[in-house]
Amino acid sequence: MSAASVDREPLRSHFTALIGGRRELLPADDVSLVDEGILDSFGLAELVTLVERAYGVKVPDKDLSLATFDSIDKIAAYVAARR
Amino acid sequence: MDLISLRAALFVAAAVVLVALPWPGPGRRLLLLAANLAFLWSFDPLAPGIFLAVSLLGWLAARRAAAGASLGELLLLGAPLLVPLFLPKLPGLSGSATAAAGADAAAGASGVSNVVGARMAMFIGASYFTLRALHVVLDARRNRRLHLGLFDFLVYNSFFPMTVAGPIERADNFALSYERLGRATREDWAAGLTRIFQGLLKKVVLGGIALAWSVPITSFGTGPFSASTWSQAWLALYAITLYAYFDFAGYSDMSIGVARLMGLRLAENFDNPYLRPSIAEFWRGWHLSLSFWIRDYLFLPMCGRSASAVRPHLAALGSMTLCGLWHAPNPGWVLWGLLHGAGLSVHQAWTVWLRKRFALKKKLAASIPVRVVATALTFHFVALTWVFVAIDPWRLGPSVRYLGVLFGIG
Repeated sequence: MSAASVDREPLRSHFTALIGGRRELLPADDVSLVDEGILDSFGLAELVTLVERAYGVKVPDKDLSLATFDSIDKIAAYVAARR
Repeated sequence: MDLISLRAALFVAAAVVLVALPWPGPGRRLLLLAANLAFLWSFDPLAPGIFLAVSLLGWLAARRAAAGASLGELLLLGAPLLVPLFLPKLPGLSGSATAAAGADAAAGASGVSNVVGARMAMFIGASYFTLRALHVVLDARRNRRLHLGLFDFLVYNSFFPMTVAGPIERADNFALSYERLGRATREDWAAGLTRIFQGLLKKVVLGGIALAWSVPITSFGTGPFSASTWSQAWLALYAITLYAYFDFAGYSDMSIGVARLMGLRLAENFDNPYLRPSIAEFWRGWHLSLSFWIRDYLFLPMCGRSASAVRPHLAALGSMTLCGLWHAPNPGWVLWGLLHGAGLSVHQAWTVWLRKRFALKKKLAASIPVRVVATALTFHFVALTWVFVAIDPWRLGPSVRYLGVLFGIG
């Protein structure tokens, strides 16, 4: 499965909610969510829970890092690789 | 061994030169291990034995973890590793007389030794090599593999530039440059000597000046130079805050520099922590190897797999309290940890609120005046937390009275 075929809507909806529902302010899929101040260590557990529930993949502890989930593109690539 | 002494300099020079000689087979690594153990022995004759016991136990647990051992088995194997983390820092068990005297000499005053020198007064860096051993166990459990064999693990965990005050270098990072041991290039030499010089400048010159100015807080309530006015108290608080940075970051510079002279590249441990606009950012610049350890092995596991908004806040409080306990199991350090955990929690609540006003958040982040004010607030918050460990961390009364002097109360 390729990253392009992963449905990104659950991710976009999640991050849009974090920034007050302003979809037009959500950065592009390849932009660092950490640098934009949208994702941090506090939000990592919630995001991982979403990824596991929405995509049916198991995220092992060794992958629990901001670097793995730093952008929507990276998350999609991760999901594609885990499926 | 006093770290700032001719004896220490000769030891480092001899180790660097000997390791650079063309040794056959594992000779170079064997020589380094011998030098590491000799360094430990110079603090306390018991230290090499304790180090070997901790490391062999850690190695055994790591091997079992890599092989997929159950959590119960690992807890059983790893539980004794908690003893060297906390026991040496209890009253009356703060290491040998030599180590304690060395700490006082280095810190210059008993009160200050509570801030940074406590790292030295404790049992010959036991909590550092124990944290590194625990890291290897936890890493092996996650990744089902080991980065270093037993012999190289012993070299890594006892590496003498990291003995007294860290860093808690990750084994995978250490392994990256390990092949270059004893093969320092001209560039390594230039960089290594520069870092050692910078470290000496911070630790001896700037740290020494800051230490001299911090006497009104370190001798608070006991000496003739004890702070009695708010201006004296604030000046001494700024001084002890700067001393904590110069002393600790200076030591880290020297560690990195000495390692570089041997061809090894240790990770950076400080990155302008006092110039950060938030407490979360502060921890991305202060004692980075400890900060990463707390985040990866305490905070994130405590967060678990949960969409709960409250749980990360509890995890921040819990992990930072444990961080305080690791420094020393006394009221001052526990309160210090709790305050940092609370600071992180409050900052996160503010971040979530501001993030929902994303346009405003970006505007504030780009504003220089806002960053200056935020940096000043963060600096003062961190400085005020030092009060609880700089005077007498076993008694909170003097620290509370000092806060009264700072704010003109009482």
